[in-house]
Amino acid sequence: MRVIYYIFVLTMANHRHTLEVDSLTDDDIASLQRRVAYDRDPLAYRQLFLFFHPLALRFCLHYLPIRELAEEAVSDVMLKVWGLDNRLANVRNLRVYILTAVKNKALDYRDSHRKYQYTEEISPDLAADSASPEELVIAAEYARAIDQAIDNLPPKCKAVFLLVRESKASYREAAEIMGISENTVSRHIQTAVKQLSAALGI
Amino acid sequence: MATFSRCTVFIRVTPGNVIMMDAENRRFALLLEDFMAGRISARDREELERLAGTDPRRKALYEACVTPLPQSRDESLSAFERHWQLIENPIPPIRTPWIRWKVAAVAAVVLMAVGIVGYQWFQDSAPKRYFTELGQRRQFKLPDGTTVWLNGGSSLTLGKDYNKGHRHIIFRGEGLFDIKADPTRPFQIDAGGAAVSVLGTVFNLRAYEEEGRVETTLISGKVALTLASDPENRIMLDPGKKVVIHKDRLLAGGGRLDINPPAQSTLSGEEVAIFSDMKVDENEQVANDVLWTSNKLVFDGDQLDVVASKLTKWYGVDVQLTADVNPALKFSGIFEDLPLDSVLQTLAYTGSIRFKRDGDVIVITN
Repeated sequence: MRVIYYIFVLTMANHRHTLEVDSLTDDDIASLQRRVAYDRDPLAYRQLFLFFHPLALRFCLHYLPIRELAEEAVSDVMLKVWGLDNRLANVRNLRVYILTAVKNKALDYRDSHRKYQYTEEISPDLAADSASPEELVIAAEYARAIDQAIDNLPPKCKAVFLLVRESKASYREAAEIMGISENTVSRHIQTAVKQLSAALGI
Repeated sequence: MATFSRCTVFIRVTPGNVIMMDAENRRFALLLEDFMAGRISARDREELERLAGTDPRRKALYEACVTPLPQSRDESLSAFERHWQLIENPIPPIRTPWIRWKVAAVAAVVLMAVGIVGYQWFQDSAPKRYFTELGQRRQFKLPDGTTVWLNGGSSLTLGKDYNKGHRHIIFRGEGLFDIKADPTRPFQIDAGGAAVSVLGTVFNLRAYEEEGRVETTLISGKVALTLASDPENRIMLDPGKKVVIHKDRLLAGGGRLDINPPAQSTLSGEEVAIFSDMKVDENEQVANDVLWTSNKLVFDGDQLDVVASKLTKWYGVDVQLTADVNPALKFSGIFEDLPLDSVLQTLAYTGSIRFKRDGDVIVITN
């Protein structure tokens, strides 16, 4: 019965393109968290997954630059989130919880898969929304230059930058996830902005 | 390592512009940091966006810092579908050799513990308990070789020093006993108010406390029953005979004694024993009272309270009677491997009763 309900809900959800997951506020997250914790609501879980998956994957790829493994690590972490059951309601900050778990998982995976040759993840090309073809080319060039500059950031600095940019983590959350102070987070961001500016010749 | 083509963009600037742009760039970097730290004011945010809008490189950097990389939503959706499969059909984790070693170590420790406990159990014969949940029927072998089938919701506890000088058990529920013959150690059962003493025999004992009676059907051998209230009076049972001891004589026969009991002996106090021949259905090889061990639910002229109790034990549900049901109604029938609803339907057709089912709670009404 439950399975049928899930299938129904998931099928319905697939047709709901209006479902906005890009813009979940902290309150939205908390309320989805409660729906998953107490009602075991698969639709709420799906929303959380779709919201956190891109952020978590990008962050995971920083530590574990093999897409397959990173996907698996993120999926593992999300399984843990679902498996928390009622206790999920006790998780104070789900963003911090998931990203910290992702980081630890990625490091675990990296340690246990040392035999693999790492191949660098190639970031997808950015589609710029500028008007003219020249501008498009220029914007694409800049974006590539920035991507490369991000990749060349010192590892911790890059992780913090990704957290703040991709995951919209606050400095405090980033500090908690990385196990560093807020001041250090601030310094990493300063470094990142400086290096990215330099890469663009600003 | 991915390779990127070099940045090939040229911007022509005049010397005056350079100084101005330097100041603007420094301001831009500061505002950008404030923005990322989440401490930017609305006015500064406007200024940041204006600065970003007036220079393509600043715009690029601004966008890189505030906008996450575009992620394909389809990718996340398909990732979710794969992920959900894992939740619905979990794959057991692959154990690494180290984990296997750990499992082996744990198993060894557990086995050792079991061994020690088992040894100690043989040494001191600590009480041991066999039981079945409601709806469950199982066979157990006791340390002396006696075999017991337990019907749903039954328990059997071995007495201290069982199998040493005696064989004493405490029993509640329904069981078919095949007692290993041993004249030196009689088998004694405390069945809640009634004690059954046997040497070596096969018999069925139904002694659920809530049913207020003890039924014994002797298949072979010989058993003696004594009541706690009247230890001097031994009731001997011959093979093929059945005795039902009602703890409250007023409840026997649903408020009145059977009109035509085959034999009846009034015991001291409130108890009454009703004797009858063991019944064997023409289609069955064995006595009705032991058919439950072949997965057949039997009603043998049972009144509704017994029917309800039997259903409760058989299906692990809660069967309730409303106060107005006719206690004199009697039901007979043999059900093999039928779902509860079919049994209830049949009872309803034959017995002018009605039932309401809500999950595991069934209420029987007139």
